[in-house]
Amino acid sequence: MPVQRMIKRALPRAAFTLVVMAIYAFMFLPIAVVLVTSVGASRYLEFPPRALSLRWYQAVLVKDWIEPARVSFNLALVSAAIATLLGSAGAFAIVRHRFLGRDAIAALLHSPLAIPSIVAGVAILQFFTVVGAKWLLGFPALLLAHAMETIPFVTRTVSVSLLGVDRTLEQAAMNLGARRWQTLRHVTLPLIKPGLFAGAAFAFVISFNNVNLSLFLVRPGVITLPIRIMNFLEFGVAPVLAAVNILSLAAVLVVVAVAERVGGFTKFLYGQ
Amino acid sequence: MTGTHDALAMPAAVVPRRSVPGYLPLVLPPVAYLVIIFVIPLALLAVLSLLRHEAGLIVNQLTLENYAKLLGDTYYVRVIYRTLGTSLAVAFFVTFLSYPVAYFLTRTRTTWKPVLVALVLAPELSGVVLRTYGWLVILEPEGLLNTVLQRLGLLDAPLKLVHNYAAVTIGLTHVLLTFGVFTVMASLQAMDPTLELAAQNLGANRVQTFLRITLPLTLPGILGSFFLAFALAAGAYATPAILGGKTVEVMSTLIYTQLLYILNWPLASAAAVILLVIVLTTLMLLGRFGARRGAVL
Amino acid sequence: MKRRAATVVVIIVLAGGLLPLARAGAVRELVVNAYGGEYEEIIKATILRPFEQTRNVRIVYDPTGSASADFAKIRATRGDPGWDVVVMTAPESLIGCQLALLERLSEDRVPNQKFIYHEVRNGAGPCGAVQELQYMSLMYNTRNVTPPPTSWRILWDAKYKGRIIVPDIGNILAVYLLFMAAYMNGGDQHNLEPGWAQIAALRDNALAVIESSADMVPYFERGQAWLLPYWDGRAHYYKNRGLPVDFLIPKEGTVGLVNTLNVPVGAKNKELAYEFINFWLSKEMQEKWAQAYTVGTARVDTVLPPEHSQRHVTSIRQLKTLKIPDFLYIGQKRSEWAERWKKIMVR
Repeated sequence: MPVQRMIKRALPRAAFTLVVMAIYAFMFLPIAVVLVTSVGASRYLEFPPRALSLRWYQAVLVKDWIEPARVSFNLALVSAAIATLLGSAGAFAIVRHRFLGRDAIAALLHSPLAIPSIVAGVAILQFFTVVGAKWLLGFPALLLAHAMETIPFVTRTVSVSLLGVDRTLEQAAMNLGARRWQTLRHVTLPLIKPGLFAGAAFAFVISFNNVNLSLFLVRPGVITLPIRIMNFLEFGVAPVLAAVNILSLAAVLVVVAVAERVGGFTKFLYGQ
Repeated sequence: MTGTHDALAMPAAVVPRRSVPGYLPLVLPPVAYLVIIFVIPLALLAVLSLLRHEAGLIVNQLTLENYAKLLGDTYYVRVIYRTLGTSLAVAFFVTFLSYPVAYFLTRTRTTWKPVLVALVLAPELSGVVLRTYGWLVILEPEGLLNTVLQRLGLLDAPLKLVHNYAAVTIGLTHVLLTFGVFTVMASLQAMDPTLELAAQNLGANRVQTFLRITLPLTLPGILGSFFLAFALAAGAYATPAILGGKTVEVMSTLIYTQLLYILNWPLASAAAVILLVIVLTTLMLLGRFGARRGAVL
Repeated sequence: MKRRAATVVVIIVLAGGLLPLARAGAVRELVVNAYGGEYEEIIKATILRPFEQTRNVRIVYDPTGSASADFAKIRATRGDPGWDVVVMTAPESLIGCQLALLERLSEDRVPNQKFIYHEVRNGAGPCGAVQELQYMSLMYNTRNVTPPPTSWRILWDAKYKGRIIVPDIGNILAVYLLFMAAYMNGGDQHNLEPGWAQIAALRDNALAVIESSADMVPYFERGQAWLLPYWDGRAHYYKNRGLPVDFLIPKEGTVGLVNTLNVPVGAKNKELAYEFINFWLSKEMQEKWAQAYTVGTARVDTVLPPEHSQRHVTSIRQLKTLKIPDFLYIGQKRSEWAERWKKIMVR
């Protein structure tokens, strides 16, 4: 009964693929609504639009939108780099070492997650005022705060990866004469690449999207894209914002897809 | 978080314990950074939670009444319960929906994989128009979802899906899926897939293999995803404020309103301290749960 | 090689981010904080550019933050948020003055203050210069609400159940609505009990309760909501933008909103800030601003075309029909009211 067996084998796989497709649909249908709205011609949001136009995309390609987007992109890139360094150091410490106060340190490394960012924003602004560091407001303050906010994401994902690493592999490398940093570079880091990638990607998008932390740390003339959007919202959701959303979404996705293609972060490591 | 070590992956005999405090250079930089940029600023603000707020002004008088109110008044206690309930539901849905996608992305060999991986970031990046307008189009009584379900004959009367906790749960689950998928993937990829083959060679069917081998080995990813989604849901402001409308109140919307509009900073900072305790307690409980099953969180 | 490239990228990015720091410190510069969106276009064309052109000044415009976020910023920085002039509303102006975070704007600093109606100046307190007057109007959908409403009681009318947007207590519109509910039922702004008795019924009639004024509009755009208590300036703006809406003052009257210009105590260019505020309060600028932003003015001698003055508060006669709230009292009671309001609204 080869046909029956084939069906028996193919059916669960097809069902699984269907489930995955349904979840992707849940992720995308809401965004499709924004996409459709963004090509409407009307001065206010319409769904479905009565007339189509690309005028709102044209309206985005001006300095007033590109400049904040550039600030946000730089900010997200650098703060993600800082968070990745600090967060993975923390992850190594709490996963690979046992020491007094380890629980407290693990809690500390995760605590920025547990505070709404509006509170952190006000707290940092007040702190900078008290210690006379208000000159940091603008890019430096945003950088320091965004890196703080995103450390927990890196710590979490790198910990998850590290926990899955079979330490006999590291031991084998050491037994074969590899030094500790060589083992780290050639064995451990490749194995936790997905965790590093996930953490850095989280840090990037969290920073890129942040409103409530940035609100208190920007300075006149240096604003991020989400703050520009928020300022624009003063008079309601204009269709140009739909175009801004779609364009920035597309830009980030392209960057990540290229990074994944080139870096192969989520490549299957062992082969089957 | 306490922890027996990862017994599954590392038999104690193979790796000798070092007694050198090699953790110090790893621990110091992130800890110092967070103390300066997070702990001290927050502590300065949290001092306000111990002060009295009277007739619109902060009075320099120590009191515990802000905490007494938040933990004693039935209204605020209910806000805390609702925050917990909504965040736990979101954490569950996010993890439950993320697992199949992560599994698929780890095992697929399609050349479209980079695109499919990048697309997972889209919900988190979907932005303000979706929140303030897109969900309304989909979820309102005459919206897309209700229309489709009614046309299909699955519903008689439209479901009420805006301005309640269901709307908040749907919106947050969507936006946080990004975190769930990537966290579970980090776990699935570090796992040695030959273990699955071995189990199947020994006669286990797919379901048994998944339940006995894959699931336990990826427990760190499951717990990690659950925790991230829980913490992010508990702290999120925009989605509950807009999709919930103001007949829904959770800790983060309470804090935001008190901080920015009502200007009662003592109450806002007391609420923030309570939220911090809730989230860190959850982290600890998940850690204990994981440790008992050999997966240190 | 790769690493060196990465270093170069990081340096370029950092330099790009820090560049604006180096550019600061030009000649006479004034930092003005107000709002974004189309407000930004209106204020730039009507007020900022004429001010820059008539003297050698460069204005740095900062649209970041609502009036509440602005005040939080002033408070957290102890009166030095980095702006010279900030646009807020009377409640923030009063509390900021009380906390000594804002400068007093007396007549020798801002001579045009003497042309502002005394009732209004008193409402805004010694630190505020009133650049515009608004009121809570009843905005309605002209297609679905016919004939036009005449009373605030329409918000409680079962016929419009599920078609009403109620502002949340964080928005001062909610406080005003509470006042009106009190006035209509035998109370006043210091005796709110008769108003409180109506709030639960209001909740049951509402489609949604919303905090931010901007978030209320999509419900009108989608045709879901038909009735909303809203500022006359914004209502007029949406009407002009093509939404099928209009706005009016119901027969019971309404409550006025006093907007203010303020100077934080830490401002770097106070003299220039006073000059700017005086400029904005001048007769010519008051007339232009009122028409451009579709709002009222508190200056006694302005002359505006009838189609404008009929719809916005521009004369002492109209001002007398408005209830000007005791903003200090609002500031003292807001926290207590918010708690009571939430306990009714949240399910």
